[in-house]
Amino acid sequence: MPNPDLLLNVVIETSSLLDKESTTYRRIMAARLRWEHLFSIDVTEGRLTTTQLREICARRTSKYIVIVDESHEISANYLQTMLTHLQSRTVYLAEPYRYTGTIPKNPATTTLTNSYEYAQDFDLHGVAFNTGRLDDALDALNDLDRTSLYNAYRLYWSINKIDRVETGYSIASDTKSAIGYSPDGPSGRLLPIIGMPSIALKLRVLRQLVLFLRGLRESHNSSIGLSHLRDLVKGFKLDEHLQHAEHMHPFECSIIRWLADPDNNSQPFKRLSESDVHLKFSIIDREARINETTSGGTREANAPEGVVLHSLQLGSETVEILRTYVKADKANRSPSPDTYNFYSRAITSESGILFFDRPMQADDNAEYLYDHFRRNYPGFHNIHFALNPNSPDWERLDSKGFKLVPFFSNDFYDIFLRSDLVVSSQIYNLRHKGKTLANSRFVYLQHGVQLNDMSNWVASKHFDIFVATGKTEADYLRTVAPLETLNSGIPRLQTLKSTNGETGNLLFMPTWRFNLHQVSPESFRESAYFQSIEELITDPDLLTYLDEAGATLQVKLHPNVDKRADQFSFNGRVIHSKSSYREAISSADFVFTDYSSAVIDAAFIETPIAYYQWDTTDFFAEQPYESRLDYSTDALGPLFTRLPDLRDHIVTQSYKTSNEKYADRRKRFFEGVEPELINDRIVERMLSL
Amino acid sequence: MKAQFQAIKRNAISKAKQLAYSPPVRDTVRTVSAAGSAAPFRRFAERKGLEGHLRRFTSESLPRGKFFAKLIINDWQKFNGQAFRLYQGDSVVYGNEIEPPPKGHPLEYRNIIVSSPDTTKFHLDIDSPYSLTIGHGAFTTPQQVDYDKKYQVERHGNVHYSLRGNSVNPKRLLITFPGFGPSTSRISYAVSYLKAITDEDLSETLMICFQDRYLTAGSYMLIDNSGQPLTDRVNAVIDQFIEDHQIASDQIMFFGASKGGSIAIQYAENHPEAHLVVVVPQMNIRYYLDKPFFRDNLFRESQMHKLVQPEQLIRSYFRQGRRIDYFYTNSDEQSNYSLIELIGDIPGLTKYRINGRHGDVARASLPTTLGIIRRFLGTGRARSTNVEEVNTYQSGSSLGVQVRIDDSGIPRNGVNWYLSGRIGRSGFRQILTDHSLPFIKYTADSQHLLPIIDDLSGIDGVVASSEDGDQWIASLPNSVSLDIDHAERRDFPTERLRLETSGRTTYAILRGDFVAQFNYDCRRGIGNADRIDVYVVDDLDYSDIGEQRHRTDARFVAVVECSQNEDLLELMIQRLHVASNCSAVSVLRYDQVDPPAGESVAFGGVEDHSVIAEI
Repeated sequence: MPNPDLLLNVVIETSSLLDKESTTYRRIMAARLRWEHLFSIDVTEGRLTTTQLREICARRTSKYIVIVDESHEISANYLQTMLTHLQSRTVYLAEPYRYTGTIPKNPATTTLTNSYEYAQDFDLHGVAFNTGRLDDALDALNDLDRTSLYNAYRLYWSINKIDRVETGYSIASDTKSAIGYSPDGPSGRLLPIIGMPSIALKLRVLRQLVLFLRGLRESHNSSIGLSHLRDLVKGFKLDEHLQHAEHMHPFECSIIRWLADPDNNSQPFKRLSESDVHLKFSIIDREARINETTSGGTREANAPEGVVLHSLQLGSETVEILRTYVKADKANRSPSPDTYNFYSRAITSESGILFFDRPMQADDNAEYLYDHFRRNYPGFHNIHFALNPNSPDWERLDSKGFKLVPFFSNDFYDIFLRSDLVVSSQIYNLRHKGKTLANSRFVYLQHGVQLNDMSNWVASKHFDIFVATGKTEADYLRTVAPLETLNSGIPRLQTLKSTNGETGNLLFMPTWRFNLHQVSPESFRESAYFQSIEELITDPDLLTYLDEAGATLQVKLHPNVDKRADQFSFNGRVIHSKSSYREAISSADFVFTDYSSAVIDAAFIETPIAYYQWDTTDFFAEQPYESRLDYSTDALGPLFTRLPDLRDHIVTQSYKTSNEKYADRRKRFFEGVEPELINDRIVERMLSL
Repeated sequence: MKAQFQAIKRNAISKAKQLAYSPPVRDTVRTVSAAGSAAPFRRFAERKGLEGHLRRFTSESLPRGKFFAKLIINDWQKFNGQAFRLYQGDSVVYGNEIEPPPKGHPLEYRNIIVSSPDTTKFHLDIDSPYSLTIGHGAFTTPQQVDYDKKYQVERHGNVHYSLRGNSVNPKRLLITFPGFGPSTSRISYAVSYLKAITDEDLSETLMICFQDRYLTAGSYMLIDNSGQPLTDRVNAVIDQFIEDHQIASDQIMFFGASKGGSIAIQYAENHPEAHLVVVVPQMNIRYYLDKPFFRDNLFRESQMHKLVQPEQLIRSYFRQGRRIDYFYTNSDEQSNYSLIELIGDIPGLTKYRINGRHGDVARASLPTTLGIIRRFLGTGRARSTNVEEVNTYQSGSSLGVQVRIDDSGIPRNGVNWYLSGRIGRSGFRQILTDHSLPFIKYTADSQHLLPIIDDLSGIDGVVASSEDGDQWIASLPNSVSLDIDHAERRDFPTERLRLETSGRTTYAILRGDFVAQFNYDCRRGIGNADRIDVYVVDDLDYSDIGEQRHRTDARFVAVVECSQNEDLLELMIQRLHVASNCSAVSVLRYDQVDPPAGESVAFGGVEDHSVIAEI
């Protein structure tokens, strides 16, 4: 057995080349000043697998091992504190306070509530493991995916309680929470079912299961079997702690309830006016399916009513999840005086209605619907629009006579409780004193048009009306929510008008990239995203054209990129647009984007549009969603992948030429939307809820 | 010689003590020590650590041959939850069920009245070390002394009370009486001070807070430490204040909770126009005391049971149409004695049904009682609000109700919400639970309406009652009817349980949401055995109580028909037993359901003869 000379081996995982100027790297290196003899640093590209980790442990070059992701954040004293802690004791593991956002100045003041425990990422980053004991555990747990190792290690060694080291580690952003994860490898299990963990550890296991199920809804396939998941839920009584997961992952919680109680295969999901949405689970008999196929029969003949949302392969079994509508009298609602039915009274002119867009930014569909509603339905005097008082839109809307309420204030929540209806372009997980969007009326106006396939996301959200724009989008949404989909068009389109006459404004609206959200300025500057945009806006031929035509290229950056605007080479003819989307689109002669759905607004008012996609393959590989639109056949304007082609389209003013192909596509795209009736159709439907 | 000297010395000390503790000497010292000019003397006693001696010396006198005893049980942990008895010779002088004392204090029972100063004549029936101190003066604790100081409780003869508010020229009189504290409390004698009522509230009112400072934990202010009736002395105190300040007869309020409620009923007797506010009072004190905590102490005070019971008094108040606000819970049959839960159509009476246990009601209804008191004191306004929505939920034989109210301007704390209506000429309020949604009030499981005893058709509104005295009143929407399946309220008998009936009589007992009716017949027996024989039969018509009286030596004979209500039969028998004041009860069950026609219906078929309780 080798005797480790070092106290700690720090393994830094990088997604590509190590960014040696990143704060995290520099803070790790800074510990060398006093502690160099105690630790080593290894850098590895990509995520370590279980096998690789086991190999490292087997070498026993250090007493402890910790894995740090380069993109994560650490306290300035992280490594020093961990080393000091480990130097004076022998422990199974040493864990700092872990976060998903900003690390507080004094992590020790963090209150270790159950909510905190549940919010923890369950991967092993930032935690120092006893190398020998990890090696021992891996001997038994070598079939597990690396993501499971933190929880598995604690279960294996029955580490129920942890005294945290007084320093901080943050995974910075938690995209896993949004899209879930899929374990690598062919393991038949997620975790070992050993002992009875503490509630804190159960909550971490629960989070892992929830995000596994979330990932499964994307991948639809796992080697992990249904029976293992049931054993996991029942063995650890995970269904008793779902209140921590419910607000973010109600769909996954329904699955877990079914796993805990397989006989109850119809789980209530969302209350509606006259019926309830249930998720119905059934295990599909493969042989029966094969027989049906071979005998020419159709499965639909025996299928339960509802929309099939998922067909999940779990080991050798297939689980089908349907969204069904159960009439109120059969919905087993179990009415009781201690539960208020937020649908019990009809919406009348006395009803409270709460509208909102984003907290800091109105100017979206809720604002336009609110404005229409207050003008045309004056009998409704109890309507409010929520906004952050620091928003630049506050004064504008206040002067227009909007009845404003500060977002997330006590008044906001009080109005939320008393409202008979909530209408928004955003879906926030509102919950207060037992009222949620699952048990009350909610109209989702959307921010735009869904060009990506986000049906899994849609299926997991609570709404009574989902506003679609055009038959194509409505048909797509109806595959998930047939009763709730309303093809009226989004409210802001009704009053969107093109400025009369040519303005000489060209508008470019690039969207953002998931993988660039946290990177350093240098890495951002080196990205293809930055360089492609920079190449466009500094293109000499384009600039010459703009000069000669007396035109400008307005660049409307995505809000997530706006903070990096200084890095772009804007100039007299290429301007960083500060206008609202509405103003920018209204005043543009031509609008183009890479993938943003915002150009749909321009197409709606028949402003010519185009797509400039320099990174099609990479873009969709990095996105959690797939494109629903085939840009080559369905786009409402031409698609360019090379700058010269786009430049030609502009400088030759081809965009001004009317094009029957795109006109036809536009007509098909917006089929069913009556521009003058958009708001009234929404209002009519929402007042009838 | 030495022994002779010791005997002479003991005799002399005993004589000196007798002389010192003789009533004339103690009265003189009481008068002197209470005088303002005696302050230096009191301070001297305090400095010398003699304050306790002085206090005991000046405490209430007992008749010759009676003494105050203090019992400390040292090893109480071993016997926690068990009953114990203190014997003087063969007689029980005190008993209780052991509860933990306050932390840091011994388990102590003070002011047990005994008839010998010789501690060797006493023993405990549990194997625990104990100490017994016996003396002429009453025992107290530093906590009780501080309490009395804080609330300015003073002794006036054998009556103790504190005065608050306007003692110069009051227009009103608010009289309160205290309940029981825990058996091990360091403050055995509290007052119902109602701290929330301020001096400003009392600017035109004199408040008298009586202290029930008798026996170990109070005597319902019925008897003093000598066992002599107290009512005349307390009535005299009340009358004197009324006379001194010329208080109008309708400007008097009596208030009390639990034991205090029973006392309030007692002392309201001479004031028919007074407003009576009672919370869970005991209607039959003997019945209430027939339980481990009291059976070997207060229950044994035969003198207090000779006085008229609160039940009898309040029935007469009902007949007089007095103004009474009565708070109760259906889960308190020991206090209610099956009267308030079932009675209706009483003018002047408003019933407030709270849920929970006996001890929960006063706290849960405090905003309302404070509001009633403040309205009596002249503050508080009546306002209106709206019921926006009513939802009902039938659950078996009960009805749950949920209301959505317009709560704008109504405080969220310090307010009780009720469903309100009438049962005949009585007002009825069913308390509601606050939902986490501020505009929702609802009946929790134990607050459901019971169509058989609640007149659902009479429930027509919602009332919010705040501790400030404000009330918000709302009618139920016209379209709303709480009537389910046309269920009608049944008129259950509410006549008192009689020991001498003149044939078949019906008596009803409610426990929780279940009402049992018993047909019974009860007569005085011809024997003198201190026992009541209770025959349980399937059909009263097949019994012959006249014959049975001659076949037993019991003082009372009762026949109870019971074919279905086994659940509450035990309570029925217990009530008959307590009412009979007999030491023993025999229960005889006659199981012949359907005797052959023409067969003599005697109790030849008795199969079970068991004494279920013997005292």
